[in-house]
Amino acid sequence: MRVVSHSLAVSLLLVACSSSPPPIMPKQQVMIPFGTHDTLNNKDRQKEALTVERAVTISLQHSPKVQQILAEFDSDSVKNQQLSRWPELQLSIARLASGDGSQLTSHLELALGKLLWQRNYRQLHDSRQQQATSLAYQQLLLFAQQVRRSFYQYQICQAQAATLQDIDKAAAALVTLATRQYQAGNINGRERDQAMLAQAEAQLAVAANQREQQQLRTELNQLLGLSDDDTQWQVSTELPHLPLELPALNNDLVERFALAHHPSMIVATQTLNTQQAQTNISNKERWLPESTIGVEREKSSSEQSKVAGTFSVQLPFFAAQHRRLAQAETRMTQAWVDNERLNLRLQSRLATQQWQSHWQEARTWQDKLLPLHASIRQETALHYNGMLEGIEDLIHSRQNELNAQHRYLQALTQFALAQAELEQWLTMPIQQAVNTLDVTP
Amino acid sequence: MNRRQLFGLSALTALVSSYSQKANAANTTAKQTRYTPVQTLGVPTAEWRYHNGAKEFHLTAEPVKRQFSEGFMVNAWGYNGSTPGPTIEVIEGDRVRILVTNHLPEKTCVHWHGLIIPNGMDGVGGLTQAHIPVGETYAYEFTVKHSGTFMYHSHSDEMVQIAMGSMGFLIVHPKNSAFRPVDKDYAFMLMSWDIDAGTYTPKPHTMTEFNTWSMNSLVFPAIPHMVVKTGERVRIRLANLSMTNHPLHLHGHRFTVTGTDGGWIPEQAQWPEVTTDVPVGAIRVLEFIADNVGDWSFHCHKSHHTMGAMGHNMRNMLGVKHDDVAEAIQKIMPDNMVMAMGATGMGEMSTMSMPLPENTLPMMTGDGLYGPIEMGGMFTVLKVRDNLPKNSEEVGWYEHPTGTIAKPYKL
Repeated sequence: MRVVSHSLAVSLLLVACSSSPPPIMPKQQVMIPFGTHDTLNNKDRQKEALTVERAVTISLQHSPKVQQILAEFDSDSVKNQQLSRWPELQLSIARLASGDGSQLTSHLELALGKLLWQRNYRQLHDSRQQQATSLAYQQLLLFAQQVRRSFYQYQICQAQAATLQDIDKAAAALVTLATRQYQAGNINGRERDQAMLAQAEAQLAVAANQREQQQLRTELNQLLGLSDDDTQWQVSTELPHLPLELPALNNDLVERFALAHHPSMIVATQTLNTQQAQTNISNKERWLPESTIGVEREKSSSEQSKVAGTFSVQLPFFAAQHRRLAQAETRMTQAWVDNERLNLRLQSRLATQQWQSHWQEARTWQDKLLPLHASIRQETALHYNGMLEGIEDLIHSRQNELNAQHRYLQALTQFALAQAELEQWLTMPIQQAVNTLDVTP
Repeated sequence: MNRRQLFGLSALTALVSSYSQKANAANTTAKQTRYTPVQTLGVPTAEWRYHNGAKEFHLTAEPVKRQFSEGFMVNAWGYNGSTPGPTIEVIEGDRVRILVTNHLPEKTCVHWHGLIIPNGMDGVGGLTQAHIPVGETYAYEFTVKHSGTFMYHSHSDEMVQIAMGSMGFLIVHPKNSAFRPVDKDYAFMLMSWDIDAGTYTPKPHTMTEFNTWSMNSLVFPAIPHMVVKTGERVRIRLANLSMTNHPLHLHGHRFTVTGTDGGWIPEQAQWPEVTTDVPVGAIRVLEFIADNVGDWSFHCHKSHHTMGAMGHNMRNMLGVKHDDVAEAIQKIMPDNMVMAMGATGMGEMSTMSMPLPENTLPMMTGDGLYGPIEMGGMFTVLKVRDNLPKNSEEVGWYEHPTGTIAKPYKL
């Protein structure tokens, strides 16, 4: 059993690994094969920048959360086998005290149902096993998405630090200028104080960014399952790729794909199957509920032991209630499945729309807003050269440009998170999903 | 020679050629009455024909493009392709007919500033005549009764049309050619403009914060020099249609103000000056004998009027050392060259050649024999020479006799 469950876990890991987004590193970057330990204990490996693919791989290998999911799956498998396959064997021993001495009675009984309807119990076992597998897969998928989200948030937060530091440097330059101008008697105290105020605010922003980085790094380490020396990794500076055009995906395609592939739908379907198998067993047992066959041995101190066969069966007075209960539970499960389907349809559509919208926003920042800010800064530099504007105007122009870069990074973060969300619904990288759709009749 | 130099030389050649043609035309008339033709440097003289008993001129009011200096083009309004419009020269007593065709985007009319003429020819839209509609031609006809220096300018939507350059000179030479004869006669139209850096069109609604100051819609170093021979009697006519007064100062000579737009000033009422203030909407005529050899500055004495455009809202950097700050800013702006400026004054600007916004002149510019002249705007030079080459415009810088130039002195 353990061998089987471990193999299944291996399969789940492979599937989860393949759900990572397309690599943004050069082609010579080797995908970490399953089975090799890509730990960060190796000092050489620590020099390599952490990418999102490596983060997912490392987390699937090291994270206690993943171990928990796999252990739960293992446990479910064992319980499932116990419940579904093996007939209940009961041994009872009783010592009775009577007038003429003690009496020892031993009963050994075997529940008949699982023997009689082994096929149904096997069906029940299979559907439960598939249900447990799909549930574990779903949990791993969600976990992998969580790792990607955390990685992107940390990576871009770190990139934002650079722009905030430049804004702070510009603010410091303004304070230096203002202080000297004030000392020369060229400006008043209020103008100097305004420069100092702006710098203090810039420093607060840098500090807030550092706090956020610490928090995100801690969260990522938690997800990676790393501690102590292993936490000294450096994240890759190459930001998430923002494509020039989005692959051809519309709401209908995504919805159909999610309905066909998403584990939550599989879990729901399997749950329904499990419930159906349970109902079938209940139907079978309605005429022969709680039946047992066994052996009894009775030995008293004064007599020789007596051995006899036993057979018991519970009269099906309440069989109809069991059936009705099973039917009600089936209806309940069906309603839950319908709700899951509706949720999947709506959420997958929403994920597509959000992904497209965030892409549009990020592209607008990159294609229009950032170039305009750069152009304005260039023109301001020309004005400064001609003494048409002062150095303060030049510095402010550069600060505005850096602020725009900061907001672009925020938009890029939102796009990366939206893409991770969509890939979670598609259960694979977007391009892979598009290719699959292309070949699917 | 690079492309910029070739272009400048071609423009100058065309300008000189055009000027020469007009000068020749003027000279033809001048020979008849023996007056010295007026040189409105950089501006043509209006052509005329004798028709139906009058000297007939034709002015077309229209949008024009004027190159104030190399690298500085302005979208203006003027007459016959120029701002100021062509100088009208007539003789006292002439019957004059001036046809005005309106090709501006709005109605217009033309006022003959200073002339004593019938009320209906005065050119005040709505008061003395109907405004000239777009596309139509009106005729102004009158007899010029008095000699002197006058000007013409729009009197419709005056704030806009004058701000855009709708103006010109009207000179009436005395019938008696022996009246105050001069050897050289120059005219300068003084004007103010507000043209933001990187733009081409003046802002007509600006009231006081102008940034470009011109003489004949040219700025230093593009204002042609006055070149005269030692001993010549020189007349300079100054008309001011800008929005502020201009104290014009001549180096090296004393002059007298001999006329206004109200007429000639009797000799006994004249007084010597080296600077004369020209009020808004007024004309001053000054005369002198060019008896001092050399290159003499002639400029408005408001120092901001002898500069190109600069910002007026910048902080004062005088006395504020900030090389290190510029260096720090350079690091976060690697695409641009950031230099500290203004800590020791602004003269260093004239030694720098830095990229500027499109269509913008440096704040101060111009090179002389001894280095940067550091000027702009209303600045030109009077060149007085004992001998003039055949082509006066080619006179170079004055070569000082030995011992007559300020030089380093060891204490």
